[in-house]
Amino acid sequence: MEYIPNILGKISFSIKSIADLVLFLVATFTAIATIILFFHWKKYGMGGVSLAFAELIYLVVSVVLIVVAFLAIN
Amino acid sequence: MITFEEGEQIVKIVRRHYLVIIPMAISLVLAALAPLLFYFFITSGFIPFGANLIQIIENLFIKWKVFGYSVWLLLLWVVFFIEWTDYYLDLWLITDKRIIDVEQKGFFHREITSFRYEQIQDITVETKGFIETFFKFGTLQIQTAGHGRDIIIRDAHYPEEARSLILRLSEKSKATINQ
Repeated sequence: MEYIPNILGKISFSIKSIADLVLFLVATFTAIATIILFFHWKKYGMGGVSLAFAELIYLVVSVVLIVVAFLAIN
Repeated sequence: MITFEEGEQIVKIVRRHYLVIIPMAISLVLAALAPLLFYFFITSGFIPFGANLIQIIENLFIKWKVFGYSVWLLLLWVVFFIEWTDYYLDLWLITDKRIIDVEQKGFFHREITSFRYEQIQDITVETKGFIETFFKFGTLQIQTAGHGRDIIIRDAHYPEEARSLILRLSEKSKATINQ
């Protein structure tokens, strides 16, 4: 396992643990943004086929990208 | 939430033309390509970086490219939809009783103004330049009585059609009141 230089003198972070943290933060940001987006779309979007299609595409691509990122580090 | 009056029917929804989000989409595509361009720029030898630095970057790319790129694309994807939502939720609802102007300003700021057809004083359509003329979009401006400001929708799709419809509904509304 690789380690980045120990700049603090006490703790070492592996690149893997940093990648885990980055994925966690990005996934959390995506989840929060998704909840807010869906809230806006449902409340103000006035329905319609194009909005339903956009919701589906957004969700599918987001999930695929998170899964790919997760599989890439595990 | 937009509350409608009893029996109120939506006649038309006017949105901004899709061309207005093209510059944002192009910049996000460029941002998506940026890591690849950066990698080729560093490793092409165009700028003489040290061999060690190039080796480190190459190793990072080989081991972490799938993870890094998918995370980067995910961020850009979410940013695109945040911008798209800002575009999509900016609209005018033309109902049989009034016009409702919904203005989305960022994620948490919305302004909803509504006015009845009797309040309309003048409607102006402005189409400027080749692109607006060719793709049939422009600025629709309504001067109203009793409002501090004009109601404006920029880059409205088919503004002439919307103007004709509003004028027709306005005349119908005035005729109903006069009876």
